[in-house]
Amino acid sequence: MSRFTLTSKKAFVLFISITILLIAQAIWWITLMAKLFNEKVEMVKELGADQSFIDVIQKEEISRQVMIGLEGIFFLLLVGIGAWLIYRTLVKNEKLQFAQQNFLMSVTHELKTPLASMKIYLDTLNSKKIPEEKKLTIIPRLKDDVNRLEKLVENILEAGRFEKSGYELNRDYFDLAAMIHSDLHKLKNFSSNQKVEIVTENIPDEYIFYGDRFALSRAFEAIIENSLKYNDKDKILLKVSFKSDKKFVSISITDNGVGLSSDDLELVFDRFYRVGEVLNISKPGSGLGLFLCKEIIKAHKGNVTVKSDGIGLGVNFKIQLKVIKNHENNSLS
Amino acid sequence: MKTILLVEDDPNVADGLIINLEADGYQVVHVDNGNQVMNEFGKGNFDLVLMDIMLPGRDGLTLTKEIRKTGSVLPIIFITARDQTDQKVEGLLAGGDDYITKPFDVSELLARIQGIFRRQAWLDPGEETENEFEFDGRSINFTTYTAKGPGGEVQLTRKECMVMKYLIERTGKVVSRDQLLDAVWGYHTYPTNRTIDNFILRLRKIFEYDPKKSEYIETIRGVGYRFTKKN
Repeated sequence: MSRFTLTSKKAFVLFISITILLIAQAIWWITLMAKLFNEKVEMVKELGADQSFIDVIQKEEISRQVMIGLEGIFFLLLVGIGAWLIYRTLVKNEKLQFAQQNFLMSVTHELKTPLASMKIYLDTLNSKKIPEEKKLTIIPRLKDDVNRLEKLVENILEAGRFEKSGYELNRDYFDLAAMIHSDLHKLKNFSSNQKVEIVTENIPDEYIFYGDRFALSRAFEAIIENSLKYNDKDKILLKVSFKSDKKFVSISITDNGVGLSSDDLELVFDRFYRVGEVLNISKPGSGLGLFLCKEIIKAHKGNVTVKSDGIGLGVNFKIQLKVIKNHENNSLS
Repeated sequence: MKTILLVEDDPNVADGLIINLEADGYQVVHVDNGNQVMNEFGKGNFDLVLMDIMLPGRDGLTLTKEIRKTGSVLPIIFITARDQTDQKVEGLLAGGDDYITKPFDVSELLARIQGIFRRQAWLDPGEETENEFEFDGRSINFTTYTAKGPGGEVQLTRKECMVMKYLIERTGKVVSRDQLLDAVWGYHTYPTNRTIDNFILRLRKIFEYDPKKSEYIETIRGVGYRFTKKN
């Protein structure tokens, strides 16, 4: 919580103060009512009333005090809930502000870095001092930068579209198993310094699913990329398993990467959220990939969850998609 | 051959810079993770550092502060995407000598590197030259960046040394703030005239008995400063 500072602290102090005030108020009420009750009974006794009259007065007083007490408790409860809601809203708002600020810095970095690289390469191509054979090695790297920029811009635009109208799926029958195989193959050469070993489990040769192929591929790739990016091991190990029944299809992705803390687990699908301090963001990205992934899966009436045993212990993502019943026979294999 | 320590996590930016720096005659040592910088810095005899700020491991600002803590006056140029004025000021206050924002022209970066080496050569022309200046029991050494004043010996920053050297070279003459900006910081816009006033304030604290009644570094209202040697 260290990064959610001033407003959260103020909100927390406000909430605690109101809670203490409410408890003090309740104690004061109870004491006062007990005192009034005793005084009244004493007064009636002093007036020489008989026991049956005192009993009636006591009963009446008790029920009156219970009624006042209940009203009081209800009122205090309302104020307490109000204070809690205000506290939660303030904290949430601050988290969002922090995430947006983080996003702006990340995106600035992510946009400017490939631009800087492209500019340096173009200057290099233009330079008479650089030998021709060196210049030839630059072209594929320039393309790499263009692809990075393209992906980032796509993600930002896509997230913008979400806010406006939600994700509009373009559903059709497609081979989900082939999509998984093809995405895994595409990302196998993700890192030039690390070996990537992918173990697949129970992925059929063909599994026809009714959904948006492009969107699901984007969601699946976001998870795989995340697993590959946040992994410092010389050999990245990725286990992808597949399970299906009449109602659901689930895809589980387990990696041997850097893992996630319990705080990060809660926030990893939030828009703009990125693990780590802003100045130490070690991996390229905008904090939108997993957010888009969650929205795409949600639009397919499914859900995506993440688990990790902690820092350094890898992460497990699980995508669960609902098989649409109106369309007969998802599996044609 | 001058050696540059390049701290940059993006492989493409680093690769492009290495090609150009080597073509310009520099030797380059590249580090892509903030955690390795101090180790590399300890090993090598570097002439300049090109430092990215947003880095995996430790960030460039923290690393610069740490390098300065070791007493090193090695020139550090930040190369970063952080382009807001307050971010630039933060970088320069952390101990950076210059700040260039991504994306930049390679020719501009090379010119700034040359500028730093040129100013460095002016400040410290070499081992054979007597590089200490004495006046009225005070002294300043432009090689070790040390100064002696009424309060004792003080370690100066390179910029403070440069300001002092520029004024001393023009003893008795009025030097404008713009002239100081050009000579010490180069021609680009940071810092403001106000920053120069702060440098002068610190130098007065070192050399004057009473910084409010300045005997050596006079303010010439509306123009700049004049260094006067009593003896």
